[in-house]
Amino acid sequence: MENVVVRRAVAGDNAFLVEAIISAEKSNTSRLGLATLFGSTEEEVRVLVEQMLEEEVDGCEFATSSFLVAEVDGKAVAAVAGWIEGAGEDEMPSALLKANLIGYTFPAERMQQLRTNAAVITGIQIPREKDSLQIEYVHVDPAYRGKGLAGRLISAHLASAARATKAQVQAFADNAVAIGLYERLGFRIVRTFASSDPRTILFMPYTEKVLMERDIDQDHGT
Amino acid sequence: MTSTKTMELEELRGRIRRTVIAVLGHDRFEMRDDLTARDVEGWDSLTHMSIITGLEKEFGVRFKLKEINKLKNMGSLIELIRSKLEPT
Repeated sequence: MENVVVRRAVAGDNAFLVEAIISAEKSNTSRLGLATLFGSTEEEVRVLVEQMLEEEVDGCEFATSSFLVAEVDGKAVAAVAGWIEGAGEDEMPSALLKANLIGYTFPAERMQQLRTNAAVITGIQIPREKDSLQIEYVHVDPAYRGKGLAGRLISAHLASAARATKAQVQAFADNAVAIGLYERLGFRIVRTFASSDPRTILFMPYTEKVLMERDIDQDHGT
Repeated sequence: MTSTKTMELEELRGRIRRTVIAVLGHDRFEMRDDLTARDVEGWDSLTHMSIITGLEKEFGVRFKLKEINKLKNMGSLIELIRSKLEPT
């Protein structure tokens, strides 16, 4: 594909990154965990996610600085987040940075709802390994799918993560398109996480997630 | 450190410990200064949010995002709460 520029995201991309985060969270369903678990709406979550990006907490999935974007003819059409887990100055796990951001940004009554619902999804909470490259929120504008943009962005993250011990990516187990893409890029499923709570499907796109990994320095697929 | 201060610190530790126990539903952890979330069963991203808001409520304080993002371990959490409670 011609005229593709891959670059680090900047604050001006935040509206597009909100789109990317919401779309990836829903994983081709109508269920947005960030809304359902908090008793919130997609409209409200869009505003809250943009506020979280504005806090500039590096080293987690809600950081503008974690994202690479692909531009076609000057327009951002694809985005993928990537960061090295726990590599910040204070070695804080990204899950806690994310939790702090959500707790700080979401209204108290939403947090109350989360406390009621959180137990439902603990089975598909996948731990992130310290010092590994974490790939998250893989999103391509529907009009630009099938052109290799997601693969280019993931490869760019891999190429700039030489100090990471390995790369990890998670996908809902029914998302064959995403899993197929990651396999072509050299990732392999290492573990499946299933939620035993039948209510999970009311809140989340699917009841099972897979954890996939690959080495950083293998040339496969890059 | 004076004995009064030591007592205050022990009381503070006790209140923090009780708040964490109330969220996690168990007391299988020691209040060591170098204790981190990774060392405590059930202290994950979901319970972390409840622990932070529970501590804010318990002590009537509000943490800044920058402050909680820098918390390395239990020692720094105790120190942060202590600094918030000191008369200015």
